[in-house]
Amino acid sequence: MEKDPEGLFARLSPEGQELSPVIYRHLHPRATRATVLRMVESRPYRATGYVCGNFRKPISRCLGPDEPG
Amino acid sequence: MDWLEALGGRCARLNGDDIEGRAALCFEVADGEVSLGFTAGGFELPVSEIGAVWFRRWLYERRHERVDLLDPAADNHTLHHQLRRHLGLESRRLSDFIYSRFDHLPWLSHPRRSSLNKLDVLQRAARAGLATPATLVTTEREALHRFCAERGTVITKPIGEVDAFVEGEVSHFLFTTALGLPEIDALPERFAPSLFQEMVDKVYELRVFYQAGEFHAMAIFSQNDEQTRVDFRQYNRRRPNRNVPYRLAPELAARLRGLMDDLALETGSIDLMVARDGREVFLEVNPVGQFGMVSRPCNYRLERKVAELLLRKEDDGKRP
Repeated sequence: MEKDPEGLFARLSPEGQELSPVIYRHLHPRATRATVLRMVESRPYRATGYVCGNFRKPISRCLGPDEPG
Repeated sequence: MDWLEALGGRCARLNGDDIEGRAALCFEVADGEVSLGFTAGGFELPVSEIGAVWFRRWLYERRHERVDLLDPAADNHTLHHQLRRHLGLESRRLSDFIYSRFDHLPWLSHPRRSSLNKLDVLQRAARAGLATPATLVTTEREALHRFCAERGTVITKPIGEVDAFVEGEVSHFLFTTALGLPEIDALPERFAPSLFQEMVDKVYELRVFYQAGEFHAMAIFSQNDEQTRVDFRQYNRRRPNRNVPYRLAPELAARLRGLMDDLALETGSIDLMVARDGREVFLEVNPVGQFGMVSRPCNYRLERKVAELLLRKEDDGKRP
């Protein structure tokens, strides 16, 4: 299982470590996905834009050329 | 939204961050009349025409949570925290107010019921006659040690929400993690309150979408892949888990229905595991969980069922 080579838990202050639940010792790092998965069709009365894989980008802030794949 | 249109309805989408500066918001109280308007890209959300509300995930991250509010040279973490906390409260109050403007309408999932307490749900599930994993919340290594000695390998997961901490190009995920005695022995004697559960020896997992009394279930064969064995959300995209439609036993469905009624939920995504010993172990329910992952592999067309329910709600709301 992939552990946390970036060592986020290790970089917390002593107080930060003390206040963190046990799962913080086993964080799983992944490359942040910003890939646009599919386009939502435009309609005059609905939001326009793209749905993103990681759901971090609100639909209408993802405007831009679609990515392959 | 496509199904709503195909079935003759109209819909508009309002994102949580529309009220965080992306759209023009105008709320006015004058002469006892209240008006509320949103305008984005020249389009005005027809608030007065709305007949039903489908609540999903409103806002993942508020704008002020993504930026440095103070000049970096200020280097004042306490002040920064106070500013963020206050802006967070302001934003929450505004969201609550916007929800309240639609209180007279029928909702599918209401924000008040969209975030459940995992521990409370487990207790209610057990009361509803569902098998639940042995669960421990503790601050004590010794108590965890005893729990592990009795139950074997345990898992830990957040008491509240699953989250990821984004740091540039890397996201640190809080996936469910298995702990054995060596990992437990390495812990300090006392730690922050943490949730532990027996690790169910599963044959497969069940993801069940519930809506208006009906269950639509899918079995996920995650057990044979080391990457997805403990948490199937650690997706293996090169060799995905096999997902197949699954029919719930009537007794299990009746117990789950009892739990959903107890929680006053009309819809939700339910996670269960089928153990090697035959137990169907309830894990949790998410009132605004994803259902596309069940709909597509199983050809359930849940999107259509959601649209049909929303249109029925809209019709019901118009009746005197």
